[in-house]
This record gives sequence, structure tokens and C-alpha cells, in this order.
Amino acid sequence: MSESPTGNTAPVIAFDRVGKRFGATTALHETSLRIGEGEFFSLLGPSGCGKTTSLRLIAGFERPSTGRVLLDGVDVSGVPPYRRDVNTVFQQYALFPHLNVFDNVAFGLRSRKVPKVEVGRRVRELLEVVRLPDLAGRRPAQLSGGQQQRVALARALVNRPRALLLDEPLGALDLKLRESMQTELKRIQQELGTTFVYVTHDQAEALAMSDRIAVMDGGRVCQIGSPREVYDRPANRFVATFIGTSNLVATDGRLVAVRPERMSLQPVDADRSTGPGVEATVTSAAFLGAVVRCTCVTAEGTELLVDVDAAADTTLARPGGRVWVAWQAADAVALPHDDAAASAADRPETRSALGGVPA
Amino acid sequence: MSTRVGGRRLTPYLLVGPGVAWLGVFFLVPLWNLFVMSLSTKRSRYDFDPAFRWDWSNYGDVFGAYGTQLGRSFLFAGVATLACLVIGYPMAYWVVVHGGRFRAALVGLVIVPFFTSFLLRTISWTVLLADESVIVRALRATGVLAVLRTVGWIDGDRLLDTPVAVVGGLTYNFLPFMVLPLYVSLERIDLRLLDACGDLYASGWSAFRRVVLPLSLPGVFAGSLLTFIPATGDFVNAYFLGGTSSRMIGNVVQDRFLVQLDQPGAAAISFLLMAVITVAVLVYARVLGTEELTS
Repeated sequence: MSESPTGNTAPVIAFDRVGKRFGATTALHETSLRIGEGEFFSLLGPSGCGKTTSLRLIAGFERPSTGRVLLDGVDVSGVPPYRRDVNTVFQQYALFPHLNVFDNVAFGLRSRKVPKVEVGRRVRELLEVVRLPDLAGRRPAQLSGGQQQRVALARALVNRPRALLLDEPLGALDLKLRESMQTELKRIQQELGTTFVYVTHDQAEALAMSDRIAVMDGGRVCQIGSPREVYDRPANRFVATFIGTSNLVATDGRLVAVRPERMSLQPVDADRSTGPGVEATVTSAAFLGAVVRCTCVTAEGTELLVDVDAAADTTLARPGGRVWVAWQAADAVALPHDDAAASAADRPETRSALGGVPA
Repeated sequence: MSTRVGGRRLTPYLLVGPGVAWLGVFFLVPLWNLFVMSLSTKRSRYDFDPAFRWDWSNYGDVFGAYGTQLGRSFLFAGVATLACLVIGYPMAYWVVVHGGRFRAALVGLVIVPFFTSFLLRTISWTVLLADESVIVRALRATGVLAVLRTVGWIDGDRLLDTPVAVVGGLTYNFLPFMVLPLYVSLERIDLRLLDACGDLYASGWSAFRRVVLPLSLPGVFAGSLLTFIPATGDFVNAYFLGGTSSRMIGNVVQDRFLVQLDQPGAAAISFLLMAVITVAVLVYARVLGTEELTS
């Protein structure tokens, strides 16, 4: 599937069969992955999927139970956070409440005994990048959520880390602010060319910003790929349903996933030889602006969601009507069966998705 | 409706009323009486109703006559406060970081001594520090007493009746007043800030000095005031544990009032002591920065 965008150059971060247990619970099953230079890499999954543990393993707050964590090819598994060349933007920002914005941002530089003049220059430079040049004297409590977020970014980025780790950084913001901060984060990442490792449970956020996404579930990586790949070619049932909406249809003993927008409603007496399809009854139709989302039920009782272009002919999208739900064979993604889905990450065809070359 | 609004308007006064009344009757009135007393003159030794006559002479030679005891009170209270801080800070810090679900119980242990009377606890120290007690014999055998003698904190071969015993008693008695405010201020610190410190290359000591300590300063401030102020005016520890060379200003007041029956003189000393402590506290507050205390 996807090749790491770094090609043959060494990855900034690599997991070499890293696993993490807390007592009897396994937070992360053996996982290998590679994150390339300048990449915007997301760890996406529901809570408890192991994404935050993975991030803390990179930061050094946790040590792996098995395997090695590599930074620039060097094994850092036993290196404490304060000696790792990565910085974190924490979930609730964790800004120092007794220090003003300038001193918060300068904290890491002062730890490293950077000369005073350079501290001033670099802090001001970063406050420009996050567009807060006039608030250097404020305390965190005097800032809005979005501003605190920018300070947290500046505080981490001012150290010029090899990689910036972000733990659900937009979780505490309201929807509008979250959307504008997404654009902002992407701009900053491109401006500085820093590798970003981004933890989120919000699939729309991950799709909008990432170069590649690792979709995680139950302490395993299910799939790694570009937003387009994980959306169009989900590796298993979990990915198909967690990212966007999928219709799961059993045909010829195979389970396939088809996106609602790739299905169409046709008259019940349409030519059925042009492609796969199933007869169903429309039970409801909701106008969503761009599309009309129809819920259809097959004779076996399977529910299917079909999006009909709201600007096109919507006469079939009426509750109660008998329809032929059709799709193109190319738009149907075959999924491994349920029992296999759980261990999808161990299967050869998905392992090749983990970035290819073993470390 | 109007009565409800009226009731709401009254609520703040009802809430603050009892406190104000209490302080008025039991603090302001006696304070005023004390002030009047300090400017009165006794007609004879057994005159229990001294006449008020703007007699400033009571204040006249307090500093001259009792400067030593006053200075000693500040010194003893200061050393005891410092000792409480040195002992109490690690205690409070440990409970906050490692106490887990036993935090509340561990803090509760700090106040367990309060179940016994202050006086009894102090008197029992005379047993602990008696010349042939296990503790003193051990300290003598290990040479600790010799060291204390060399640095001049004691002059004989005993602990009782020395400044060391008085400071020890003060430290023991006032330790909870230091630990509790420290605990409260440390407990409020978001432990994730320590992760942030680690992430920004500040480990152990550096993280403590730059983040934990500044954020706990309100607790240090409150704890040291709650320890220092009562310790300065304390006379019980010096009375039972100290000798003639470790008398504090509290002993002077007690002696003036109860033994010499010189109420005006005792009142004047008390008033001066209050003034000096107030000034000292204001200076302290200015030095430590009031902004930290309000944020």
C-alpha cells in the first residue's frame, strides 16, 4: 500500500517491535512503524486504543516493555524525556501558571543554558510564528483557550525538536476554534518543516491534516496509510466503520465495505447485470444539504446508507419506495472476516502497510 | 417576591454577622481594654483597677529592659519556623506525590497529636529530655551534646533548660501548622506540570526549584506565619523546657502579669510585641510577593 514518504532516508522516529504492558493489561501490542522527516503523522483511534501510550513512549514518559524506540536511528528506549530531542504539546497544555507567556516559552531554552540574547530572539520569533507577539507579558490564566494552545505550541517548538508530539491538542477547544486551529497547525508545520506526531480520536481532524494516519484499535495498529488510502481502502472492518461511514455487505460469502456516496439508488426494475447491487426498501431520507442520505433495508434486514446528490434527481429517495441499490465492483473493499480483523496488524498484507522496510 | 429579594440582600450580612460580632466582643473590645490598660497607672501593688492617665512610661523602657528576651523570642521562633519548614516540606511533598489514595489519612496523622492537650505534650517533653533519659544518654554517647556545646547552643551536659530544648519543643508543637498549609498548596499543583518540566529538559531539582517551589510559596507563606506568630508569643515551651538563659518575651509578660501583678506593664509589652510582629509580617509579605498569594 503506502510507501513511507521518506523513501530510503532514515526515519526520524521508529518503533521496532515495541510493546507496552501495565501489569496484566497490554496497552500496546508489538508494533513497528516508521515516521519520516517533516511528516505530519497521526495516531487515530478511540480511547484506550494505545495511541497516547505510543506518544508517551516516543516522549520518554513510558519505557517499552519489549522492543526498541529509535530516534534518528539511535535506540532511546532507556533515555529519560529530558534528554530526548522531542517536545510535547500536552492535552490540557500544562502551561506553568506562575510564569508569563515569555517565560513559559523560554523554559526549555533556559534549561539548556542557551545564552540570554538568543533566548529572547528565539522566543520572539516563535511568538511571531504562533501569532501572539503582543502577549509575552500575560499569565496563562489571562489567555483564551486558543491562545493557551498557541503558547503551548511555541513552548515546544522553540526548542527546535526533531519531532513535535501533540496529544489531542484541540480537544479542549470549541468546534469553530478547532477548525481554525487545524489550518493553523498545518501552516506552522509546513512553515517550520518539523515532524508532527499527532494523537487524536477525531477522524475528520486526522483526515484533514495528516500526511499519513495510523489507525489504532485495542492496542494494535490496524492500518497505516494516507488519508485517502485509509478512507478508500480500509484494511478491516474497524477501519471501515471508524473512519467515515461504511456499508458492510456480505456478497458471495465475502464481506465488503462500500461508502454511502459510492452507492446509488436505481429503479427496482433496472438492468442488474451492470454491477453488484441489492434490492431494498427506502425507510427514511434526510436532507443534509449537499446530499440526501437515505436509509434502506434489504430483505435480510441489513441497513444500508445511500447518499443521493441533492442537486440531481431525488425521486427515488422517498421513504417507502422499492429500489435497487447499486455500486461499482471497484468501489467495494473486501474485508477480512471478523476473527481475522482483530489480528489484522499481524497479517502479511497489512504489515507491508507499516511503512515497508523493517528497521 | 420582594421579600425574597430583600432576603437575598440580607444574606451576606447574615453570613458575616456572627463572625463580626464575635470578633467585636472577644477581640476588639479586649484589645481596646489592653490598650487602655497599657496607659494606666497602679496606685499600689494590689490595685486591681489601675487608673487610665495616658501613662506612656509603661512603654518607656520595654526595649531597654526586655530587648534580650524580645530578640530571643524572634530568634527561637525563627529557628523553629525554619526547622518546621525543613521537616514539614518533604513530608507534605511526599504525601502529595506518593500518598495515592491514603493521602487524606496520612494528612490526618499530622493532626493526631492535637487530641492530647498542648500543655501535657509539652510537659512530657521534660521527661523525654530529662538528664538521664534514653534520648539524652544516646545523644551524650554519640557526641551530639558535645557538638552542641562546641557551637555554644548548650553549656552544660544536659538538654533540659537550654535553648535547644525550647526550640525543639516549639518545632514539635507547631509542626502541624506548617504541614497543613504546605500540603494544601502542594496538592493544588497539577502533577502534569512535572511531565512538562521533563519534556522541557528540567529534571528533578531543576523542576522543583523552577516550578514546584514557586507554586507552593503561598503554602510556605501561610505555614510560616501560622508557626512564627504564635511561637514568638509562646511562653509554655520556654517555661517548661527552658532555663533562665532561654526566657522568651511571653515569659516576661506572664511574669509581669501573674507574678508581679504589673498589669499596665504587661499590657504595654504585649502591645509592643503585636506591633513588632505586624511590621515583621508586612516586611515578610512584601519580600515573598503578594501576587503569588492572590493568584
